[in-house]
Amino acid sequence: MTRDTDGDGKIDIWGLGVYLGPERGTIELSFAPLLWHFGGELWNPETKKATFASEAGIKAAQTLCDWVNKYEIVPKFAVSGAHDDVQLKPTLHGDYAMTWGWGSYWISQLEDKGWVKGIFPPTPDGKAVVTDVALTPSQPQAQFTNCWTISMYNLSQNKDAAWKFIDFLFDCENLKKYPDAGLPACADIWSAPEYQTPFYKVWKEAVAKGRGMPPTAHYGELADTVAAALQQILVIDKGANIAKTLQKAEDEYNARYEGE
Amino acid sequence: MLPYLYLLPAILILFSLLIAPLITGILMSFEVTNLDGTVAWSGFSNFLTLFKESRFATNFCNSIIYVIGNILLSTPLAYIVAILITTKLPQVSYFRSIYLLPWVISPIVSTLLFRSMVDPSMGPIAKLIEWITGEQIIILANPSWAMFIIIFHSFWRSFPFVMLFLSAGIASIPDEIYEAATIDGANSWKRFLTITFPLTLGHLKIALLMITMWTLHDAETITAFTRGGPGYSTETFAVRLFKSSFINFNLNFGSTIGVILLIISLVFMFFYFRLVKEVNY
Repeated sequence: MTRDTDGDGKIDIWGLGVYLGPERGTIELSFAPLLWHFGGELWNPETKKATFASEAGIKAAQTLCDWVNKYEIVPKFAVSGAHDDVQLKPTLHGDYAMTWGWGSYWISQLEDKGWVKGIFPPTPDGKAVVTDVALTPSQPQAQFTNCWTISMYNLSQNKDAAWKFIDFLFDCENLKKYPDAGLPACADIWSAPEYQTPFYKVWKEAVAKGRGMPPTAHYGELADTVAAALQQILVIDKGANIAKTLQKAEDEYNARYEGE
Repeated sequence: MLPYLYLLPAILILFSLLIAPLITGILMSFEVTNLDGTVAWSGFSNFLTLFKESRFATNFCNSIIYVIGNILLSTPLAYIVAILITTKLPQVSYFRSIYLLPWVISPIVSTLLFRSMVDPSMGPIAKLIEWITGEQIIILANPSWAMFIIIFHSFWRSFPFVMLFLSAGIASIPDEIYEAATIDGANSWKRFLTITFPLTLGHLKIALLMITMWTLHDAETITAFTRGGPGYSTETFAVRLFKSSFINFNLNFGSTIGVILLIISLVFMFFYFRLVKEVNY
């Protein structure tokens, strides 16, 4: 699907849009799903150590590297810039045949573009017109879903008030008022007629098959470390020393945050 | 007693806004904040962890390359333009304003402007490089080109400031000195080397010091350009400090990087003062 449409020797449509830039989208949407698919884990909750340099991690990095350097279906500019600039804008511009890692927060953009109709806001007649969504055929629980750990400081001086606030946040009536990134955050809303369209059924399945990021307080550092290591592998080393680069990144992360 | 009272407001402001945060920052670099919120004294462990990482050496090299690259590009051009705009030619005053434009534009705005110029599909700089080299280079995905464009942007922003300082210095040199040198047979280059350069060294020292500090502490433009990538190839200490402290909220580690940055700043300051002292006639 990667094509030079005007015959000038340059690729006009890339086969696959994948985010590999410096933001957290790289670990969440590109690396972790592959790592999980190959049976690996980013972080061990018992030892509280990063484990992304495993055999599965090497396979995941090798897959991404092959897409960029061997098969050349993913553009090198995927490593630079913000998530919107690398994924959303080129997709809407028609630069990608497929995009991997489309967030539900971008559903409204598809409606604005006219690629789906009656989907945002959701209606019972909503349907895909030009483009549609599909679930990646990966192992179970090998997809990322936006779910985050809510916690409270042990030293909090107002624990009761903090618990009340958390209860308020998770009250079903309140969750109905605040959908997460365009999708219902409360299970019973999914049975409403407007969410029975084929389009939203895919999202519901994605939510059910998804998982969150590791519950470590240093997740930001973990995400930055993985993104930097992947960029080193993809565009600087061009696939050489994958195992060594991942191991070095993992060791440096664990030297600072092991056990936390 | 009264003079000291007059000084008191300034001393209080200086202490509360500069000295107290500096001391707090240094103390924080020797501490670690546990996940339960307690703070413990950790000695030099933050520094040792930092020194052991290969990323530290990369950050150090990038910071030095960024500062020196900027100075090497901006100083010669600033001298040339300062000499031009201090000549008594008609219409020259318009150029004084035009040359100051890069300096007055917000760094983030100019960074976004430069980012669009290096866009691989439509950016004019990217197209020019493609035309010269014959191959499409994704500038911000290439470590060397990414660093070059960051330095070039910084040079473009810094040179008007250096130029302004130097032109003030050049304007203060009496014409009689140049006239006497011309009568003695000194050509333009000789006049620059023996009159202009030594008599503007004081101005150059201050301008370089300020540009060095700005460049060394510049996190916003690199963050907007590459966030330190690809890999860590454009990550300076300032970018890492910003990431550690304000994205990942590890303030102790951020403070440790801040102390390193302070030491490098002091070394540069010492170097400039020594250099000017030795060169001074």
